[in-house]
Amino acid sequence: MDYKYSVKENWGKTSSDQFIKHEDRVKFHIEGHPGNVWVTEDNVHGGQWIARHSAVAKTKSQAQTIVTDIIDAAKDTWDNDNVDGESSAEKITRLGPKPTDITLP
Amino acid sequence: MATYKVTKGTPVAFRDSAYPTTYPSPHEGELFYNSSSGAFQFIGVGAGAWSSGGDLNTARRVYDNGAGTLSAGLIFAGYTTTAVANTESYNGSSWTETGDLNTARHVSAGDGTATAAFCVGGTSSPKVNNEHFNGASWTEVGDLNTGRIGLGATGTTTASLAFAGESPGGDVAITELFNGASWTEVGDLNQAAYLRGSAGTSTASLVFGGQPGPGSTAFFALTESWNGNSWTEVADLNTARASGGSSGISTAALFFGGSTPPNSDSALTEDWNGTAWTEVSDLSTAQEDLGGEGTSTAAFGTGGNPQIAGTEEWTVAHAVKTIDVS
Repeated sequence: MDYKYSVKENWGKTSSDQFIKHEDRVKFHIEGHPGNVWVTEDNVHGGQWIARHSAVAKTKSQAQTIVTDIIDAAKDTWDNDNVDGESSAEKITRLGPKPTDITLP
Repeated sequence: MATYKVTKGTPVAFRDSAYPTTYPSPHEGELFYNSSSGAFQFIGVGAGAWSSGGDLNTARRVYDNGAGTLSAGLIFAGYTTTAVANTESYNGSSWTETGDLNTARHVSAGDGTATAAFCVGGTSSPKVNNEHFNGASWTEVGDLNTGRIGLGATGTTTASLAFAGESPGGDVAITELFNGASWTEVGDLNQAAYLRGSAGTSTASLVFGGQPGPGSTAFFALTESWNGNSWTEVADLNTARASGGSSGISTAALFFGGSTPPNSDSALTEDWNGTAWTEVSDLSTAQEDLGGEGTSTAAFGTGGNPQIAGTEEWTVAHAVKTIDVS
């Protein structure tokens, strides 16, 4: 499957519209990643979704850089967020597991 | 030599545009003629998908702290940069802050409705606290016998079930039943674990997935069914994982998102039909530590790690499909 990459803030849902609609999900593949990066299936419906939202197109490399930078920052935040006397298990319970790398499709 | 026979049928009807395509439609499988496009169309089988919902007011990890339905939901507790007491109600479109819990907590669990919910257990140290929500405020009621974190909970404020989780001594299989006044230990789970998904009532519950302690990558696919007296192992999840969102009842449940080895966020959604799990449409965004409630055909998943405000809504609908004869 071929993909397109774009950036757009997810504004969720209003009384009259949704950022991602049920029918969008039926028509094309879409997945969200850190940094408001959206990976959409490269077909007419995915293209229409990007146009509808005026999302900013990115190359795969550019999109991957955005995601990686955010994950790296999240790893640093996780490493530096410590409480005196806290065990490793307690830290994971408090913060969740340390963020892991994401490779865009 | 080929032979041909004439078939004579009844002209296909025009579809009334008001025919419902919301699931389950009595018109599934019906064939229509669209005079505008000159095409034959039909109402296809129902298919589930996740779409965008309204954002939480307080972005946070929610875990299993939810109650209610897609159109009348409730989320409480969680973790921002600390455990919180916030409670928010959902009307199917937007979240509104309402009365806080008396005790801020994280990796607690709860169930019920948006106007009658309960919340038990949680951090920082494993809590025994049990609180009831009346639609406006929370009140402390009878404590659990065993304090724990990352537990599961199903039922109502007058008939609650709390099970699994982690206590200072490690993972527990303990199940407790609340009768509206106090908790009593009942039959243990077969597998002690924490961060398991759950669905159902105090007399018919389902628990699935989980992991054996923080930091472990030995995730479980195990599913157990509660009949009011004891837990029985039933069919496994297709993908072992922990800390996902869940909704439904013991015979029709949904498990979505979560963490998969080695602690990667997952977008997977699986549907339980009472016998087996089937993979269905993914969340749009892989997520763990999200909260969820509703049914297997109408549910919400919200929050997540780290400090997520987004909500996704699971609905099942029938697509009107066009028959291509070109």
